[in-house]
Amino acid sequence: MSTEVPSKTGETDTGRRGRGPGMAGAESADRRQTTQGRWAYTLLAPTLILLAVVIIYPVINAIILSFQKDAGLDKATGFFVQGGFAGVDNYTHWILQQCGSEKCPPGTLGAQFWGAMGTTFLFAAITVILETVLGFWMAIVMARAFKGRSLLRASVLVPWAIPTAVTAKLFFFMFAFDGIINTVFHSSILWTGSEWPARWAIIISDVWKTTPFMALLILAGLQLIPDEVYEAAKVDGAGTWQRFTQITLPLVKPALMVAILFRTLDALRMYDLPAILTGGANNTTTLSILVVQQIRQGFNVASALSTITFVTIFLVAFIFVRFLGANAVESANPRKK
Amino acid sequence: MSILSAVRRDSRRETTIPAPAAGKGTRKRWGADAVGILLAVVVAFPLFWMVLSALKPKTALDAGDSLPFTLQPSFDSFVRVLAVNGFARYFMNSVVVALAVVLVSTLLAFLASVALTRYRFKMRTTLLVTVLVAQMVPVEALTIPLFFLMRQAGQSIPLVGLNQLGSLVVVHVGFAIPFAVWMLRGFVAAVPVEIEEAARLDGASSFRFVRSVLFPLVAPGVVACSVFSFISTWNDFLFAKTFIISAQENQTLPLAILTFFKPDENDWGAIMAGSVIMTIPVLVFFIAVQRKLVSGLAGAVKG
Repeated sequence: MSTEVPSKTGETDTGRRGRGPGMAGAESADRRQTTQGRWAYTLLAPTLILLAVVIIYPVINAIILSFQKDAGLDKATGFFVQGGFAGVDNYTHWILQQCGSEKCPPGTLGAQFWGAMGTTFLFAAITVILETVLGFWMAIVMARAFKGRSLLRASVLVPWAIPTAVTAKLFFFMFAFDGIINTVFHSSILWTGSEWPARWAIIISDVWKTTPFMALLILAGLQLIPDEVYEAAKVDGAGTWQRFTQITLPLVKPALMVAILFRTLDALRMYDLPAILTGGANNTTTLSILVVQQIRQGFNVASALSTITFVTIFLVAFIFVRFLGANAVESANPRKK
Repeated sequence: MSILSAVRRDSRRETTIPAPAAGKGTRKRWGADAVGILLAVVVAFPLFWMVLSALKPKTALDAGDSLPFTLQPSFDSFVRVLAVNGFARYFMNSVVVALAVVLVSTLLAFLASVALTRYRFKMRTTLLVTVLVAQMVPVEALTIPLFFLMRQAGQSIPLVGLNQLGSLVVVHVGFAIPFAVWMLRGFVAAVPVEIEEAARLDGASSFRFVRSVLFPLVAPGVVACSVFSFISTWNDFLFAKTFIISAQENQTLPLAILTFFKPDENDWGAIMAGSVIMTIPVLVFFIAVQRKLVSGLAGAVKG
């Protein structure tokens, strides 16, 4: 987290926006910052209170529970285990694959942890890349002026508008052995029956469903680019590709970064599609599926896993904001002169 | 001309990406169009299949009919969905919850994003990252703590307790806000401070400035995040199933469709018909807001 150094002149920083009469610099920078801070917190208060109650409180709750033992029968010994403080046992269960004092046997949930971690990142990487490329292209097509544009925009949105559970059912139906996809391609692939076909089925469904989200966000970002810039570039003799890399890409970057960031965070928590399409079979178990399966066996151990997921995703987001998005925070104000 | 009227005039402008110059060869353009049409077909195919399956007679579906057309379209599946007890009621509940979430989350996020871009204060970056926490936890793991939270909250504020639509609104606003804040932040930041100064010189009050200048300029961002919160609320099974446990009259639409999901014997026709019915309001909402997906900023900055 970068600390903000108050700038002296106040003109170089896009972030500072004095509202009061002191804008010309009559107030001291310090006092201005205090006044601004007060205003800012007034505007932020409702959001922060709501987030504290709905998100932060349950998260902290889950973290506390993750250090507790699940009460219940111990499978290894057959004795009833009281709850109570568990230390980091719930965490070593996942990370070091320890069930009690020994290694988790294959097939148990604990043993699937690293596989699920790999699968989750694999899905996230492939889907986000495909969705960004296709979404960008769709956004550029939709930004052109032509007849029936609003109809096209609305219809492109449809896949995203369908509930995920229904999308999953729809693709399950289509990817079935006697389903339409095998019929159309005259293939006889057991789509959900082995590792890579199952993974591709999930990736295809996810890309189909979420690309419109990317396209819509990028389309909104494209609205920030004035026509004049393109015209000027054209006059200067810039080609299509140059206009794209030199104008479109940099100016749409803040919106694009937000879209990619949120898509990545969402993809890392993918649940519905694999859960319904394959039930997590054939190495398609994601971390979220593992969490849900574990909730049925013991909530405290599941809390540890969801905390691990949270920390992992937090690290990804942190890296993202620090190295890629950090610029988006600072340069979110494209100067157009 | 005053900046206010300039913005208003320009907010109707369309920002367009110019098509490649015709001189570069129409063949290239034609190729791009062909790829576009191919992609549109691929995208549209599952939708076509959805509508087709909703229209096929139940006997054909059960027999595993995979013909790409049907000779006897029937509305039986739609009738089965609409005949679910209290369908109209569920529908209205979904509409109320979704619209409430859109209004509240957009308003709160707009205020928050103004604070995060226009003012400078300690912890700004920390707050931005904190807001993201909602996007980092497996949602499924939060349902149980949230269930107990809502049960407790209901004892002091009945409106947001279990079985109340209020509980859904509160939770969905919480999950929609982080995205909205991040999205709007970029748009608010892109409004040049010169416009604000000009509006002030023209004698606009703060409220007038926000309503007549800032809000129209960030409209594309507002559209994007209102569509986002509408869709995520409209389609939610998880929280609706968790919080609305006994009050039948407060159930939402996805739960009505859920009744057709059965372990061995899914009623595909009804599921597809239900999905078609559920998709229509989203489209209506999008078409209603999408004309705002054009910013006045492009023209307003040059002044």
